[in-house]
Amino acid sequence: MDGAKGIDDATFGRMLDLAAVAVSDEEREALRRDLGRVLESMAAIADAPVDDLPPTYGVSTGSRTRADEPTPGLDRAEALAGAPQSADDHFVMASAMGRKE
Amino acid sequence: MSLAEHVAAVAAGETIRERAEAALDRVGDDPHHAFLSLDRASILADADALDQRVQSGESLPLAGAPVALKDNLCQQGTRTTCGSRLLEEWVAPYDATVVQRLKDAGALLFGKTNLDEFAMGSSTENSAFGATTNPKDPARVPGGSSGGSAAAVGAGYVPASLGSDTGGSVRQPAAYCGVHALKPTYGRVSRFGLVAFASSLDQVAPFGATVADVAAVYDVIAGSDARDATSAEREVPSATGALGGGARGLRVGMVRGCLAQADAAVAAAVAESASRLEGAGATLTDVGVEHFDLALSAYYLIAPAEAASNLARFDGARYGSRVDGADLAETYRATRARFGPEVIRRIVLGTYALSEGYADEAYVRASRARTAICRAFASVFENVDLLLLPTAPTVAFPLGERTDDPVAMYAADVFTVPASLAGLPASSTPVGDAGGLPIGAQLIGRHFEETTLIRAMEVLAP
Repeated sequence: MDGAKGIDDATFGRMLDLAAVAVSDEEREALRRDLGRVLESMAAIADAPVDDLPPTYGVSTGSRTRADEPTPGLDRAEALAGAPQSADDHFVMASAMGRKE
Repeated sequence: MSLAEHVAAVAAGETIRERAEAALDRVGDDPHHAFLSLDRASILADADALDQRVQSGESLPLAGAPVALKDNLCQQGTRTTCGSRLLEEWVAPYDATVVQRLKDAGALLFGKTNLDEFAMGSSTENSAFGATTNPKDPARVPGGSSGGSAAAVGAGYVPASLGSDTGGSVRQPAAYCGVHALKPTYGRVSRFGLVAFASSLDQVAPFGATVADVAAVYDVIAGSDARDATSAEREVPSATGALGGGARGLRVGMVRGCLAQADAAVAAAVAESASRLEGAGATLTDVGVEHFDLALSAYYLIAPAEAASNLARFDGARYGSRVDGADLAETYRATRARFGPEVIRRIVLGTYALSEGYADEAYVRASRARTAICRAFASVFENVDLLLLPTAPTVAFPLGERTDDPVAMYAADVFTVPASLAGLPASSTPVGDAGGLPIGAQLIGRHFEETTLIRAMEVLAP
């Protein structure tokens, strides 16, 4: 893993974009350093004898299905009640295209 | 104050309201900051309603006993903050399944407790609303992330509480606060209504002043739930029914390598607790769990990866607070900047672990290591019924000691994450102290054998 040598700035910037989190310049440097140290501490994974093993993404609790029928959920008012902004029975959010001037 | 004492008091004629008033008096102004929400009027109103249920002849298994809830469990109509500024004013529109089951059993829901933000942490210092302090020493942490729930029981405010355990977040604070706790088998308790951190690892888990308290709450919350697709469809043997079963005939494996890694006082207390198991008829052998040393690294790649996915929903659109930006992307980034530093650290780490070019060597490789750990446990459990090891390498550490060192903070979980990765049930029981600071011993059992853990927990405590 890259962490063994620290995370380069370009990679780190890309991770911040993917994570969709804004950080200040000071926070950015501290975070990059912390992450480098955390990844260094995990170097044992790189050398672990696990190449031939299948990954476990979750411990199985058995296969579970239910009937393909609608079940009660939140009604519209309940779903909108916690929203920062709503109007006309819809969530209101910033435009992907930016503000109109 | 235990559940048994509460039930006896109500049976002897005290009202649930009187018991609730006494509990509120014990909390006072909450000097340990165990609670984020404690609506006294609402609690007393609920107590009155429970008294009416009793008077109408209804049998209440929990008899109006106060049970506190970690503030990442949805309780309808109450603030559920997850210890985060993002959800500071968010009110849950529904009850978690475990909350509904507690209500049905006649528990008195007693406040929402403090936690590391979104359950990410080992000290409760990552809460956006201030740290909880340890009831045994207010200069020290209660552990985390369920520190508030542990402290509420450890301080004697309530006989039982619920937390959530992903990598040790119930067991470790139980050890630090000197209380009992049981993390069930993955899938044993519904996660519906538990705000997700790492979905393949999270489990709701009870704290109790006594093993009987843990068993009583576990019996109420455990069992299949159609609203949680990972909930196991299995009968739940009664944990309360297992009390008094003793340890005779149990084969216990002492994980000696963990004793060697722990502080001397912790190792000594856990070793001494083993002699109590032997005295009760268990057989002790020394064992090793292959690949145990990979677990911490694997966990801190897998759990952040799952967290990065789960916390993507906090984008300012549907719940919680929002910081407006010039466009959608900027609104996302500005809103999510309200996460605390540890949450941001784990989201970015998890994003790295899942991203193209790194996922194979990070997340996937860690998941292969998880397979190795699961198989290692399965191998060990061919010859023993339980494993015994310290819950944590140290006693509770001072507030502020590890907040600038994430690697040192993560090390607090070194003994708890292996059972989490394998989905195994595991407990913590107070077995001694070092200078007044509690020491916890951890038991790990086979999948769905919580009753075996309960039997041994009773014997372990001095």
